[in-house]
Amino acid sequence: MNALDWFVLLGTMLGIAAYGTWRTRHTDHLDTYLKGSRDTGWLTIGVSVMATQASAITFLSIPGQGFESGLGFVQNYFGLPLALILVCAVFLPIYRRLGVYTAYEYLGRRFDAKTRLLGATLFLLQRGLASGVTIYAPAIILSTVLGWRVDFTIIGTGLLVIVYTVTGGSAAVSLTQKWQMTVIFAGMVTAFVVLVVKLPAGALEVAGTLGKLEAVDFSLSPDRRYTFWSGLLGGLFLSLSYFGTDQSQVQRYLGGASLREGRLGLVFNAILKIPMQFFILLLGALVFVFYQFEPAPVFFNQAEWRRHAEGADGAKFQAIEEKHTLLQAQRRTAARAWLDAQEGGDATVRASARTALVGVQEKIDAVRKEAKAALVAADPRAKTKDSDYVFITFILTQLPHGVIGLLVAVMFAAALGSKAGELNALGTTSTIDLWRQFRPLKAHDEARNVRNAKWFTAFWGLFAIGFALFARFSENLIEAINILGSLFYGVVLGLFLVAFFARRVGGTAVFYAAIVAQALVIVLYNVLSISYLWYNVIGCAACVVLALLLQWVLPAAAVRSGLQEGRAT
Amino acid sequence: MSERRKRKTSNEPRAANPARPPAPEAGSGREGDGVDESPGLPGFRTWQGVYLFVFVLFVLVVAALAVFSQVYA
Repeated sequence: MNALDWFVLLGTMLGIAAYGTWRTRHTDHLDTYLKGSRDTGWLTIGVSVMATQASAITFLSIPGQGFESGLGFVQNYFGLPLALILVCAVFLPIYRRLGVYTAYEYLGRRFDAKTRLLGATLFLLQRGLASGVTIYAPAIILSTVLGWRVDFTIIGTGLLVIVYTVTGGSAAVSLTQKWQMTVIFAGMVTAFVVLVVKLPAGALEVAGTLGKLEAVDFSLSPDRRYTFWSGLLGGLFLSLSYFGTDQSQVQRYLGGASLREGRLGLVFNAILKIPMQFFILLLGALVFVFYQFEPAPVFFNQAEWRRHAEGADGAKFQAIEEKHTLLQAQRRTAARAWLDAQEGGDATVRASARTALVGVQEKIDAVRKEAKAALVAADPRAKTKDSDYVFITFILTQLPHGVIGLLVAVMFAAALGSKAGELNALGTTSTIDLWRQFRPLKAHDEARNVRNAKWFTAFWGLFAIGFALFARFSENLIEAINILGSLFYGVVLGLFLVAFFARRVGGTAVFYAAIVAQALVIVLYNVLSISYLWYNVIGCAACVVLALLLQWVLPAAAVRSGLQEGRAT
Repeated sequence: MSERRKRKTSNEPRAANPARPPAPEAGSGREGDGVDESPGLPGFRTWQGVYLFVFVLFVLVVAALAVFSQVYA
């Protein structure tokens, strides 16, 4: 990165944070602090919902997924539009009619205090841990490739987001997210255009031939991680839980001028999310095609590679690199021959060129595996997953200065946007569902409520920084977050579905059902090897079925007692 | 519909017990704006129409992706 890149990066990041802080510095009403400005329109809500979901991992890891496994990951989002329709039709009108600040407030009104506390605790546990990953993920990747200190990067981004989120609350979050998403769209479109210009004609055919463009797989095998069915059903439950019951999303659409604005904001996401994810994955698949014609490193996390290549086994690493370079030259020739055959060759020539290209690619894949094995042999704790480094390597080596700064700003903008949404929600839930529950007499002191919300937001920000600094995370960061979410989301969704649709079930039955269902999910996760998306379905189904059974089995007195507690809260 | 019947079928919270101190939720804001209103979009008179449009669009996107996969397989 040169001075121009630094100017673009710091100018956009500090500028947006300073603007958000300044514009919302006088936010002292609890309603505005927790729900945002009363005149927030549907576009701001829609962009805010999108920015909260799209973290830096989305823009670092997903192109890497496209590079390594093709477009299949897009199926994970197939349940999302259907889930958002349900949120618009069922969840949102109820939340708005009751004027709640948090989704768990609704559980307290429908059931009882302990069920509300359970829902809020599950959220704080899951989202609190995930917030550490959200801040760690871009920091570790960007620090590695840019040579920055990872602890400074974590602390710097963490403090920046704390400043404006604590100052302006939800109003600052929505305002800054709008500008951050503008930077993200501008950066990603620029990267896509530059990449397409650099590619030869027929790039899509090359990607298809090498198996990178299979977007939909109708296989029924439960062992396959991404299929149409797991994406539709598991994705439906994951999205319904995330958008309908996760406070970091609920808070984004609860504000706004009217129910209409919230609904249109969600419809905006229901329409755009799949095309957006497809576009990011396609970017990764096209980067893969780009490296068919240009030299690529044998292992994209070059810092990790060099660390071991310069050690005692240097000769072994050098031999692998030489073999890779030789094969890359063969692959370039094979790819060009295949493109020529597409233009003028007959069927036999085309088939032969295709076989040659696929054959060289298989050899290169084998060498990359050999490189990873060499890393593990040199150090069993070595990081062998390099797909998260593919896109950032492309950015730093292939894009012009200025655009590099813009793309690094994209990563930080995404990190700050999603982090701000999370902190805002964690602070709100801690204030409304914990503090106000235990200090009911202070609940009407508005200034004290705002003050506490600010303190809790700052606490969660510092917690995330501490967690990111001291924890050790899974190598595949986007999956780590999705797995963590899938373990908790199903049960929380079960709580809400019982609340909405099982009118006769009371607080006691659903409370114990949720606890048993959560224990069941954790046990099954350690025993079974199925796609993690299925745990959303299992957790939700277990919670609903157990709640219905318990309601039927429990002595009538216990259930009545649960219902009376519900009335009192 | 009688009040009793309304309460039995509602998934919304019951009224607070008047004998108890005010619940903390009493300070919650922006109540009562959950009523259905027109989407205000050209060509759509009801929200059901908007949801149907989103669903049809989703089916078309999945179909387009499936065709895309086949074409470049």
